[in-house]
Amino acid sequence: MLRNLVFSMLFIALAAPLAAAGDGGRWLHISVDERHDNERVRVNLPLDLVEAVLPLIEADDFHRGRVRVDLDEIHEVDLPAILAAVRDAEDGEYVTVDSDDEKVRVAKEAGHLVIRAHDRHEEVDIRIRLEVVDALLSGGPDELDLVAAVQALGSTAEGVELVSVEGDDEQVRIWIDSKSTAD
Amino acid sequence: MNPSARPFLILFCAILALLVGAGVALAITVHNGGMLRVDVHAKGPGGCDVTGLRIPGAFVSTAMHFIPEDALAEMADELAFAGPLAGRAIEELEQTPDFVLVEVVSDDEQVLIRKLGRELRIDVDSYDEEVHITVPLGTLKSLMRRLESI
Repeated sequence: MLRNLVFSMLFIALAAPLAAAGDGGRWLHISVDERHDNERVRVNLPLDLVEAVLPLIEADDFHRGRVRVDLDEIHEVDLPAILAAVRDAEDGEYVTVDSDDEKVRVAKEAGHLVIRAHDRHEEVDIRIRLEVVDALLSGGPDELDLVAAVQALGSTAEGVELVSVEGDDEQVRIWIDSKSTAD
Repeated sequence: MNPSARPFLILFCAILALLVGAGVALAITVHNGGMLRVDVHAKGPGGCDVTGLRIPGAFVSTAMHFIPEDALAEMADELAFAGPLAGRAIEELEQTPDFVLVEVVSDDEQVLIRKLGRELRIDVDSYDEEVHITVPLGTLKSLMRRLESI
């Protein structure tokens, strides 16, 4: 009995730190490669840190993790309602702009809002889970709730790229995973 | 033992205990507070080198109390926006495992900012100088607290 108790205690003592180590938080990675200057920038941020710090930023239009945006021009448009409609709709392409200079495509793919834009010099690919967009718009009219969005980002699938920009001179990638290093 | 030598022996032991105690206290303070380290090496001719500058973090925190209030108030004003932000960020950093916060590599320079243990380490290697700065997170935190209290 006593031996079992000792072994159990020993197992818990050994397993607890291992479990804690395995339960690492999520990391936001930003990678910028500039070919022209031959410059390479890597930024790694723990999402917990971002979540903790955002509510403390006080700037002109930024208060308590929420940024005020000027939606005067599209006041008649109910963004949350549109988003709800998109969430319930089938996967597909919703907006396509095809001109000589640029191509823009907005689509819903497997629970993600996907925006692809490319012109002669640059190709931009943004892929955000609809839950994150939901959280972003949850602040109220004319507000984007960045803290809620960061919290929702925490449950993003491993290694999914949020933003990818491939230009003539530079390559930018923003993604989330559970590794503390970008490479 | 000669009875007349006994008081001297007690006094010697007391002084020894005080010295050892002070040494241990200093060692604990330095260990807990970390060490602010600055090394600058100018690569060009006639450049100025600063090497081996080591200041215990606890001394930096203590030294803050000797800075004139008006100078501190000016600093606090300038850091009014960043102070609470930095304080919270430092608290989070203390709980985060070691990691590289920023890495910039170009033809001209390399910059590496990383969290190592309970310290923030900044390494810059450019064409004209090499800079290595290590700041204990605890020192930064007490600095921010002091500025916030003004």
